Amino acid sequence: MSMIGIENLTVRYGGNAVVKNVSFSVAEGESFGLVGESGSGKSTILRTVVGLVPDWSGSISVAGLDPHKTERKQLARVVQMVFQDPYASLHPRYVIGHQIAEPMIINGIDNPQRRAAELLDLIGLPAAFQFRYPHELSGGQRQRVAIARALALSPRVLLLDEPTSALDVSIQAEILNLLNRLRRELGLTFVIVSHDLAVVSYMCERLMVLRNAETVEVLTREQLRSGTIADPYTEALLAAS
Amino acid sequence: MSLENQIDTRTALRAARITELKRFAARFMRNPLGVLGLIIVLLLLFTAAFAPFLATHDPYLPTLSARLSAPNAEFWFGADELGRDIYSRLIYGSRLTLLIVGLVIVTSAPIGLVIGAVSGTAGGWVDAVFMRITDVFLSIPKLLLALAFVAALGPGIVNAALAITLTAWPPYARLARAEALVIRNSDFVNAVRLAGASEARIVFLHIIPMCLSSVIVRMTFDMAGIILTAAGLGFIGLGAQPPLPEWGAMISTGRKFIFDQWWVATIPGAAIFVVSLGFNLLGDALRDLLDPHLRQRN
Repeated sequence: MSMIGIENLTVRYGGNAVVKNVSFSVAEGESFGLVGESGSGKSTILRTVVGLVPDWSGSISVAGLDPHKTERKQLARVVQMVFQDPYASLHPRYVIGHQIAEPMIINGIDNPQRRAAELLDLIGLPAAFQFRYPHELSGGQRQRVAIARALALSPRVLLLDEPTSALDVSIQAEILNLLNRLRRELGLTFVIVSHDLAVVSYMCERLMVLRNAETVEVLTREQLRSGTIADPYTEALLAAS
Repeated sequence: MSLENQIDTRTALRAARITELKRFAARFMRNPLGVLGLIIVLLLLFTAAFAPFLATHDPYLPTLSARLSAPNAEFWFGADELGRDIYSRLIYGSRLTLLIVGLVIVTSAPIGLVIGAVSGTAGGWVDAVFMRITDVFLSIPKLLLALAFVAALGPGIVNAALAITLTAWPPYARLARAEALVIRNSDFVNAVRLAGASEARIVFLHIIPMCLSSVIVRMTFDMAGIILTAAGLGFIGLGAQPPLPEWGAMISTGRKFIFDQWWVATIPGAAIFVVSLGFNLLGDALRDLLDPHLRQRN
């Protein structure tokens, strides 16, 4: 059964279509990559899926729900997103523990503080970090916290918008391995947006290449690695990375 | 969670906050002018709190034999036209100054903050309506609106404060709206939105805390302006009424003797100057520390 189904998705900002007629589906437990240069519309697709972009057409279904017709709290327990910049995605005035607990407080889940401490443990940070402010953490630690917050409501799908591009190379691998481990342990479905083919080929079974708001092609990891690529643009992208 | 754990969490949280506060205080202490401003403001608070102990005379008791006497051992800053001790009146006047500033700040800043934050976050017609109302209030000259208001309700300290509030909140609304416009699209707000937070929760728990620092800075600067406006209203007889020792009213009575007995008008004028300067210096220092546009990301 497909966990995410997107058909003929078109998104407009003002008059410009930033995503044109994109269709793909992601199976439960699969990890799917969206690759392209900046401006190719890949992040917009994720934002539309979680309902942050109002003006779109086509059809979207996440675990059978239409994100724009489902009540936000119900959707929140199915799909969550991790943002690109860990420096911008945590509220500067609240301690880490509160930020991880907040989704659970909003949704009336019992013992949010204790669950927050457990989540910190799950993503590999000591429990004492709950009482730290974001500016006391490194970029990699912040991204771990953002991941913990996204997991707070035990969603089935995690949308990752360039989860490592704001981090330096040594931290990138740590975060990617953490994400792989979480996917295995929690049976999550991933959609990962990246401009980096290496990241996507490491993380994803299948990927879609986007260019100027349109689909170029969909490849499997094996096709990418063996170089059986149909489109010259993908080859150029591969050569560049 | 057990009670013990809860208490543990609370103390740890408090410890984290205190550390933050200490760090802030340490950075503040590096700015000598800001410290000077803080000292002036604290001195004002101290004076107002302990006025009966600091004053040497009854601020209302006339000593006709000492009318308009120059500063001397008995009357440190001289005496006014009824022979009241100017020093004691100045000390008691600090209470009135603080009262007006306090009244205006606790009414105008929250009103402006909430209107601006809601307006900026909601957008659309809510934003349009709130901002046009703000524009209307901004387009009326400050002192004129205050004058009309006091003229309608009658002179007095509380009415003067209300009148100033009426003209003081729109800048806060503008400021908060500008901040909210940026913050509402930031990822940390999107993240709680994805978690199902209500718009009210987003405005009050996530957007307003981020607007607070610039509002506090603006507030500190505004206090100097409020003191001046209050003194202005007192000076033209629409603020505090005699025999209240309000500084603006004191200058007003001293005007008649300004060439022969300069101290009657000059001393309260100097007090207004020093206190306004104190608030401005404090505001400058706070802005250096809190303004998100001046502070780089850390």
